Amino acid sequence: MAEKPELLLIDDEPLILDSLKILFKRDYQVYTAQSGEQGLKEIKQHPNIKVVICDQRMPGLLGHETLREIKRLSPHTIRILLTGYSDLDAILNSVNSGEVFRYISKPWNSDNLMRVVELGFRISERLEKVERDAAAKKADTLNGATMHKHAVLFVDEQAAVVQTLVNQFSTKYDAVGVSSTDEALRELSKRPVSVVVSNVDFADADPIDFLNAISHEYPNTITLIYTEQRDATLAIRAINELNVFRYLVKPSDDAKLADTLAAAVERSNAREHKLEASTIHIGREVAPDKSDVSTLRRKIESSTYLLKLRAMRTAQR
Amino acid sequence: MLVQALILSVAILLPAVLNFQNQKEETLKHLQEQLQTAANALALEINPSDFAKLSAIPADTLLLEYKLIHDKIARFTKANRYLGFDDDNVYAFKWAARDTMRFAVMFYSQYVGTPYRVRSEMEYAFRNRSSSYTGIYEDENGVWVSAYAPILDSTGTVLGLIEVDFKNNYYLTLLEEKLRSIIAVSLLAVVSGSALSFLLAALITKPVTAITDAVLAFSRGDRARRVSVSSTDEIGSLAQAFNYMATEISERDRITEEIRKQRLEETISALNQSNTQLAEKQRELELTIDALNQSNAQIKAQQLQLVQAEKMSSLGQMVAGIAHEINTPLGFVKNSLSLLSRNQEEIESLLEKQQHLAEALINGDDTAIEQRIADAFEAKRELDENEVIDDTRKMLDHSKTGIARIEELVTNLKNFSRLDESAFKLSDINEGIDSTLVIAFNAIKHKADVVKDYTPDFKAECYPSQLNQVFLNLVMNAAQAITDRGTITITTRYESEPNVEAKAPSDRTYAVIKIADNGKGIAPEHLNKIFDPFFTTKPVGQGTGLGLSISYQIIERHKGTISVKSTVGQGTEFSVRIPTRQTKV
Repeated sequence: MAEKPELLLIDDEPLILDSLKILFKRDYQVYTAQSGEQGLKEIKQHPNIKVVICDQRMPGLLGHETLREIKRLSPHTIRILLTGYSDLDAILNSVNSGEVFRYISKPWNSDNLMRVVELGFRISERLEKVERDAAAKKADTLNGATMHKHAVLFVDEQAAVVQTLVNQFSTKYDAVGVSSTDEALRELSKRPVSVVVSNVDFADADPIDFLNAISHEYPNTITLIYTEQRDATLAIRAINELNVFRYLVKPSDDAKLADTLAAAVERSNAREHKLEASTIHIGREVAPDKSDVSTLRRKIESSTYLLKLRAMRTAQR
Repeated sequence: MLVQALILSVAILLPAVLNFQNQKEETLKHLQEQLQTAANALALEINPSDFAKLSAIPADTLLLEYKLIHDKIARFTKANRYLGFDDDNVYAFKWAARDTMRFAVMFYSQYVGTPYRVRSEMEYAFRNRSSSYTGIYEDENGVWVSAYAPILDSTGTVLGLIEVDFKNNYYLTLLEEKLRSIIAVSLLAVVSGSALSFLLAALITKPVTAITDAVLAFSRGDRARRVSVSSTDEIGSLAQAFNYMATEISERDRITEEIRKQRLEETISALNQSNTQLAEKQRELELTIDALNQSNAQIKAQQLQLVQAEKMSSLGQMVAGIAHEINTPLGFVKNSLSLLSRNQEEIESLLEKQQHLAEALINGDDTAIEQRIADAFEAKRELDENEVIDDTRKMLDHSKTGIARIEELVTNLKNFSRLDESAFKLSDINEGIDSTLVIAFNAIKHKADVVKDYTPDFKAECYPSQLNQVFLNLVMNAAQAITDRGTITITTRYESEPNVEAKAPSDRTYAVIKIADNGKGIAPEHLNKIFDPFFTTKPVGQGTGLGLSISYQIIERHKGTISVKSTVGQGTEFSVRIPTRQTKV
């Protein structure tokens, strides 16, 4: 009998662990831990753990802290945060430091959770392969990389904000600023853009749909949300639908924005050289039939943004 | 000068005239009294029976009784001639008609019987049987004063009247002469005095007065005033000196005035300027006041919002905590239910296979039996391998546990809020604290163990939901003060009035609730500020600084006190002390 894929559950509530274990034990080898610290021990003991489901509020290490450590120890392990309530700080921490794959609220839908976990395993496999390939070619590829100026697109309906950002980053990057989603799509159709830094406060546009269209068409483009909106629902959508790279809440100090932008550019570069891959894209490739993903894809495919973007690109040619 | 003379004359004459008037009145009064006395005396001397015998119309002047009375009157007149009585000054009257009397006895007998119109004084004397007198009155014969006395018989009936007349010209003339001489002397004195002063004035007073007037006029501001005294004596040189001085002063004044004018103009322009500035400042001030009023209104509104925000923040924390507490059991209950339906299908499938096997055995269908046995066993093996039966039982237990936990939470939530209570109510404080602890459990459980040191059946009159809000605030603060893991100790005790040991329930005047933690403590400099509104040491966005302030108000509403003891590094203890009975208003 083939080895079962290994899954780790971390929650301080034993009945949750029990219940989830019963849900998953037929398909996976399930490990459980009642704290973040114990979870890290399990990861170290069982390097084949590919997916982790972790509670946010626990004594000792919090969920996002645990996941951040796990990411460091085992980058290809897919991290899912399962939490009792949507505290914006927890959500932002989970994306910005834990880079979670999904943010799932308790009480969960068991079927959905199973699908997400299954998708997680498939993506993890591919990530592992990318990782292996990357390790092999890392040295020569990066050395030979042309050190061109990366394009960064700033999107904000307030023109003054855009102008400030462009001025701030124009020496380091090929910085372009726009104040509408249409203009943004037009800019994107003209040339490859490494990072899109976007506000989510649009008068008449769904920011997540808009950014999703971009991410769908340009797998190597990293999306970064920079906004004054402290919106938990939006943040959860940004994680679950968009796999947004970071969600920064204004006011943020310049150094932090610059560091984040640098990290995003590096990530985009890595994707360009296939040293890293977007989980969203892998998800689409590995599980075209999984409803979680296919619903999302149908949504994106029918998105007006995507249609606009494609029309513009065709016009460019 | 003439005016002075006139004043002087009036000054001398006025007392004289007044004196004269006074004397005149006094004399008259004296006269009236004397006349009265005389009339009375005469009336008494006349024999009433004699008088009664006189017939009035016309009187028989030859009658003996008439002669007797006539002699008496004549003698009386003679005896009093020194008073100025004349022959026609004394009469006796008899009543004739309603308003008429007739002369009954008099010196000139040819007039006896002539009627005489009754005067009010006569009527008074007649009716009242007493004497009376008139004031001064004038007729064509002169100025008169009269006195009347009744002639009474033995029964007191008035038979007639005696009139004693007095033509007072005599006295008055005397007095008037005296006055005239006084006036004459006074006028002479005034006239001669005036003449003398005119003379003096012409010689000395006038030039001196001229100088004095000039000095006064000059000093009052008439700078053009000069004195024209041509004499060469001391007064003349005084006048010259004055004129010289006046010229000097005028010149100096002119210069001073010019400077003053210039200065005044400068001052006025400066004043105008500062007036403009002041007006500007005032406008600015008004604007500032407007702005202040506006921001005052804003601050009030914000304060209201902040109080609301604190409520919402506490509520938000509470709701978040409760959501987590409910979602956790809800998570595994929901999960269990979806697994139970899966298991149910598998169990049903096994049952079905067993049923098939049983049917095959009953029917003796040998070809099928072997397969059916294999199927049933395989299904049972799978079920066992997947621990379906055990898991089902386990999940049913989990679900029961989960539902019980949710139920408990909801019950406590209800106890905690007690929104239906708006009056003071005797409530079990321990229960309130327990509900609060359940609500706050999510915040506390990772931070602290709770040690309860309760007095059983601990009750006080209170608004339970408001007190619970205070407990929640204190417990949450205690949990936040603990850095790693600590202990929160909650004590409930009755306290009596000082010096009385709380033995009987009636001695239990106060309910004291102590919530202590062994956390980081409060810095001494913060200790007296912690109940101030908006005081917080928490980072921006994490505390409104109103929690303790609101708690303070709630305890005040209970006529109680809330106090704090704290040592940095050792912990903090809050004491809430409320009366067990709220006095009825």
